[in-house]
Amino acid sequence: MNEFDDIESKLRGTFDDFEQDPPEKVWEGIRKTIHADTQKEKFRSRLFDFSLSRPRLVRLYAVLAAASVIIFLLIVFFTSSNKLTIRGHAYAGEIPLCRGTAVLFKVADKVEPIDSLQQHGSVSLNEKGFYRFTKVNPGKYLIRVVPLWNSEQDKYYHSSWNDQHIVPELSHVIPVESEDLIVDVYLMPK
Amino acid sequence: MDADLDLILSCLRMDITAQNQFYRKFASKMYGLCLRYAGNRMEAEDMLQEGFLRVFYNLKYYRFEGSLEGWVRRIMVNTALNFHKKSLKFQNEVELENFDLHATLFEDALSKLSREDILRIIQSLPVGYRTIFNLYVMEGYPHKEIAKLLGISENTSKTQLRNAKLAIQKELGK
Repeated sequence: MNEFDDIESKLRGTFDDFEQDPPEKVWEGIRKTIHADTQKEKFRSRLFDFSLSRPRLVRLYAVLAAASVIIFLLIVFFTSSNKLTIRGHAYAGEIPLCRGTAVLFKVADKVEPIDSLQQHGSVSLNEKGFYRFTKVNPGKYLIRVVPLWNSEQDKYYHSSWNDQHIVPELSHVIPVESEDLIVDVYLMPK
Repeated sequence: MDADLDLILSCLRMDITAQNQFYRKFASKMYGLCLRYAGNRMEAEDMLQEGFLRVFYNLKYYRFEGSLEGWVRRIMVNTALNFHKKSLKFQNEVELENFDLHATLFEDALSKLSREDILRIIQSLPVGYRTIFNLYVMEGYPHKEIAKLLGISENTSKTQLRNAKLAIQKELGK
């Protein structure tokens, strides 16, 4: 303890037992701050109960999750931004072919079609004979429609390529460039 | 000690009644302390609020070494020092010119004034004088410790204290 001179001792004595009641708003401010923080913590703990004691892990998980979502969305965007759709109906005569399969083939450039066909995908026709191929890259294509084996239509119609041909060499290639296409396919009668 | 322990444990369980009780136990004395360090009442209220928030946030670290009031007081003093950290400037080690300290004059003047008046005089001192006056005279910190706390030399601390007393004497004489 310091050795106080007379002046210091006198001043010290003046304020030795100095007390004063603070205004109530001070306590209100303290109470609101402490309990607001508690409510925030309760909320956080409900969301991230397992890692309340590991705030850095929470931040790491949040960053990784956000990055994954962003990367996924970017991939979806860039891989689908220039993809197109080919859709249409298949008919057996005048009636839509409701039981069958549509197959999309990609045709390589500058090669005879029959040697250069590559299956792109196949879809079942719906009850109205409708088919749709999505995410189709620009290029040249042929479509083949196959009626369900042993069905009524199978008895009376051939599996056919677009343009109503039964061999691909005679079919006109479908050029897919920058727009979606509608191609209706009519089966060749037997 | 047991009563303090129960109170502290209740506060740590976020029992608002216990926290209020804890606050009311020390608020008056700590407000008195803040009034000495602050330049005005509003500043003292802010200091008190921030000080108690620090007390409650650090209560889990209290080790029951020494008195609880002493622990609270230390936190309050540190809060007061942090409040003025940016504005704490210490003039060069030059004493106020042409003034001597007169103990008799001091005593006469102090006896005629109320505590509120003397408090107002202390609050009107420059922050540096006021801080060192409080730390040395009221808290009993030696100059060596004050120097370490505030990042100044011991000589500066001693000069600032003398200047504080001279400034108070000058105001008392008005």
